[in-house]
Order: sequence, then structure tokens, then C-alpha cells
Amino acid sequence: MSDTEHPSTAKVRDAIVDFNADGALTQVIDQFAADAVFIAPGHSAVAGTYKGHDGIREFFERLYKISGGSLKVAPFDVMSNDNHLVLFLRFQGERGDKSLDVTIAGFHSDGSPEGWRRATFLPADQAAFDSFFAA
Amino acid sequence: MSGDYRGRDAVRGYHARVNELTRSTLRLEPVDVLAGDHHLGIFLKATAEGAGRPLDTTMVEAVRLTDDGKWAEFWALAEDQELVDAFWKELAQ
Repeated sequence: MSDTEHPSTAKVRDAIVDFNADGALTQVIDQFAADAVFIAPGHSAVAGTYKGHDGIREFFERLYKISGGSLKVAPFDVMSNDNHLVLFLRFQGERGDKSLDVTIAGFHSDGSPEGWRRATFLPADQAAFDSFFAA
Repeated sequence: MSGDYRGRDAVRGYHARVNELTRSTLRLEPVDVLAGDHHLGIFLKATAEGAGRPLDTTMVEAVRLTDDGKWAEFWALAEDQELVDAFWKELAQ
């Protein structure tokens, strides 16, 4: 963590380390308020609008499960201030004869003392993401 | 208007088409811009007059930068994507 890094940025980096270790989600979920809305566009098996901690947990558990536990997440860039957080992540995985290597942009907004209340999960290549995470 | 646009001419064409359909009423107001080493994250308010309901939504926009800071890739989503889809559909009819 650099001297100027926002505390929210450090939390994201810690959460990614945890997730990569064994799919642990506690630090991911803790960044969101209890009434948060999480939007995953597209037509994959994980597309939809997820609400609250249970909903967001369900989204990430589905991702991990469909990827057969192969999903690895690496941060390209994480930027935040008191009002917004944006993260660019590299998602890689293997599923049968399919492989995944896409950049995901995550946008967090509507912050509250409890955490972010809105998030959008936006793949750069939505078609490739949808194909990998097809039902 | 959704789709992939590659190269400067395609991007120019996209914006020309947007201006034509909205009769140059599209207004973009940055809400927040966050810059990293290789990317930008933009929160933007977009408004425009249409054929029916006006456009009024917040966009989230992602930019991948080249090493010399030029935009190499751009992708975006509206907070209210259904409204945006309906807006363009009405204009295209």
C-alpha cells in the first residue's frame, strides 16, 4: 500500500488475496452495506441483480462454483475516493475446453458508513464472459 | 447503438450517429473520474431529448489506456439500461 492509497483500496486488495487463496468471501462481502444492490449484466448463468450480503455472496459463490474453483483474480488497477471505488481485475479460469481471460471493471458507489450500496460488475468482453459462465 | 466499434473512424461514426439521432441534445456531465496507472473509471450523468421519454441516467464507463495515455478500449453500462435501450429504440424507429 502506498502512502496515498485510500483505505477502501487496501481493503479490496486484501479481499482479492483472500478470495484467491480458497474462495473466501468474508472480506469481499464486508465492503458492502446490508442493503447493497449488485448488478451483473449480460446473459450468463450469473447475470442478474443481487441484493444484500446474501445476494452478493451467492453471486461470487456461483462464479467460483461454475469455474470449478479455477477462477483466479488479479488486480490491474484499484482506485477510490470517499464517494466511489473503481477496480479493474483480470479474471482467468479453465472450465472443460473453455478458458477465460477477461478484464472486469467494477464500479462501487452510493457509499454509506456501512459500506458501498451499489455495485456494477462489467466485463470488457461480455460475450467471452457469458460464454465461459453459460449455464 | 450498442455494439463493438473498432478504430477512430468507427468511434467518429458512432458519435456522429448519436448526435444525429438526439439532434445534438446529448449532454454528458462527469460525476467522478478515477485514474489508475492503466485505466480510468468514470461516473457520468447523461441527458438527451428523444422521441418519447428523455434520457436521464448515470453511466459507469471504463477505459483502458495505452502506455502513452491514449484510450485503447472503452466499455460502459447505464445505471438504468432498460431506459437507455428504450430511448434509442424509440429514436431509431
